[in-house]
Amino acid sequence: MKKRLLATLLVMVVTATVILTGCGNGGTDSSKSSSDTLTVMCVGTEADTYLGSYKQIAEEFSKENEFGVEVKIDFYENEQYKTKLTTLMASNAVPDVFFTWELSYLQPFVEGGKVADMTPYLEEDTEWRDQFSDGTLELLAYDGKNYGIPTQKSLCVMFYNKKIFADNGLSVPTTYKEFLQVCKTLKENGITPMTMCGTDAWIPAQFVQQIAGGMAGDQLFNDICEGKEQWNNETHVKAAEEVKKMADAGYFQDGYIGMGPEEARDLIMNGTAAMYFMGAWEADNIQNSDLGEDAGAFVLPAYDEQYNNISVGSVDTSFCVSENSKNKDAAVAFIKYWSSLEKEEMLLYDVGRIPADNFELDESKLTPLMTEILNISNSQVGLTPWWDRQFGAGEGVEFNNTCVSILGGEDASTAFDALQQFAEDNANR
Amino acid sequence: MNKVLGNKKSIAVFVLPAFIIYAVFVLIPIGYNVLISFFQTDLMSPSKFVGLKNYENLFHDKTFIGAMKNNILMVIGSLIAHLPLALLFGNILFQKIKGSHFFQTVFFLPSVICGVAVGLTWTFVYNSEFGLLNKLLELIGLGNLQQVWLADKNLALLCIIVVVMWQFVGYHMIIQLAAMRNIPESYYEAARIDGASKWVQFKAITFPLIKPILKVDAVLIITGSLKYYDLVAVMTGGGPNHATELMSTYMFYQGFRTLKYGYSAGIGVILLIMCICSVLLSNFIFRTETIEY
Repeated sequence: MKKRLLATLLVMVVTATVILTGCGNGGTDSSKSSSDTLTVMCVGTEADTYLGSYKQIAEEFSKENEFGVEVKIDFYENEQYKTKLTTLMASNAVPDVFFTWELSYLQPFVEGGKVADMTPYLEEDTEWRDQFSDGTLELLAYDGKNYGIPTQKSLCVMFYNKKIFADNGLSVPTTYKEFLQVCKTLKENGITPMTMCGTDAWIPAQFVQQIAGGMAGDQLFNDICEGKEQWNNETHVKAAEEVKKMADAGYFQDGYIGMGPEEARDLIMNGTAAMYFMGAWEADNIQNSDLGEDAGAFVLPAYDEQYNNISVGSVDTSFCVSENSKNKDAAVAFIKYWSSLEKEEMLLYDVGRIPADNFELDESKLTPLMTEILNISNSQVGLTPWWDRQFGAGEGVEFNNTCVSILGGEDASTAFDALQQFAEDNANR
Repeated sequence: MNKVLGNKKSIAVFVLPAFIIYAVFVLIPIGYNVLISFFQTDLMSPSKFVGLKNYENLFHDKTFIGAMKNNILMVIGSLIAHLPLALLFGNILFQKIKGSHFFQTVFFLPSVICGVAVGLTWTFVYNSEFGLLNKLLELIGLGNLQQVWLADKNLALLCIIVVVMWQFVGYHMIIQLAAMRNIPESYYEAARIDGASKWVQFKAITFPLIKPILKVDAVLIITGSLKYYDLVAVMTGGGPNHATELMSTYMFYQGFRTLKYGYSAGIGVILLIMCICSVLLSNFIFRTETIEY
């Protein structure tokens, strides 16, 4: 009896050893390599044209750097990335360098002490610090300390099809009335004026935000951020109703409310729709499509002319260093390498990513579309970050949802009252 | 061997590995989940003890109440499709009609496909521009019934429930069919000699004898649809404007998107309580003595 028990125990011990050593091997492998590998995590999918350039930067840094580290860069789709990063944060397993959005997205991680303070590195190399455009570093600073480095800038523009405009005798609108007139003419001529995606709530929401900015300027944005103005202010209601009116007039394609972002984008790229309101990051996809040279961009004229050139926009593709990183110096060097003039120029000329720095640029190397977009970018007097970046997944995402539900038929003032109620409830959750 | 298994210590040795795994991956997380539901925490900054405040807030949260209602609709929809309807299909195939094995496989097929693939397929079916459903409506002259199915907040949830019904009806049919096949043929023979109709045979023999299995099945259906996640996450992501949010998708949203882990843990606890209550309820409704043939 005892022998049998012993035998069973023995079998169990053997099995357990096999299983445990199996795990153990994996563990030692990763710890050995972590000293000379710099892990980087970034947002992107194979469909993004910039992915190749990002990988190239990582490869070149691996060859050239003085720390002898090899960069291992991983890309994840947007939603996957958010889930992955929050999980890694909670379990203290964040890679050395990680992609981040600015403002409220990074804030909890900074407050949780997971992000390395970059201020000393910026102060040590003032030339590096001063290359960034005014106000861009501040979007990633908390309590006066810098935690993230922006590598790009982005803003919303109205892409348009020059050929359709010429065929219909239209020119780029300079006032809001003219813009509505352009939509009306196109609609009457049987062309879809604008393409819009309704399934991803942030896309209609950025359009509402842009129009609201044109009604009340960036003062409205700042007042809401400081809590001086409520979410259900009349400008928001009016702006959302304005977009709803466009939808009812048929200025968006049929069935836009159920269309995904790629489907909607295809309509501008294949010449079905005349205009597309989207972040400048789509420029490269659009100029590489069938549209090619016919692609143009303009800034949406403000509803109230005194607020012209206030756009939805912010920094983009910012990077942070993990507080737990064993290779902080190499990690900072990698970000510095990425934001160098040479690399930023490559990203701009090859894949249309606007640098977050005030470099002197060689305009002759730009594509016509990128020239137009850079002109827009330089002429903006105010940029208001997307609500879901300013307020994150709480009020920001709910603002997006509110805009979609208004387009779906809900009364605008009821919907914004509900958003205000949410904001008050959410404060103590 | 019997001697070994008769010894309580050796039973413990055999059960222990499974129990440890169960404890580490199920019991301890449940306990930890209940614990953090009393805190306001993002799992990074210091947590703040708030007592029952998360629960109090939950019951004032319109989205959560909406999600709970959606879950209840999901339970009702699944119960309709997976008990009476599956029973009907099962009973038809039980009659040894021609090709019953073929139909059995066909009905069962959707439940072996993974939920994400099913979700994506149906997203295409429901697509407003090139979707099968809208094209079909147009073809049969009902073009005015065309809808933006998944983007309409009044229709989206119903659309998803239909898919859930379709996906699992075969699964529950198989469970019930297996129970029916266990009933000795002699019972039916005797009934036929006495001149009992098919309906009477079902009412007096089949139904009472498969009742214990129906109980298990009902528990599976109810808990399954309370914690349902994948189709909603794939097809609508809880949108438009939280109209198709379920408790599980809302829990994910509050946890991994807004980093309110305490609040999200509270949703988890309520889900757990609802599951336990529904199991107790269905045990009460289907209470029956065990049957031996």
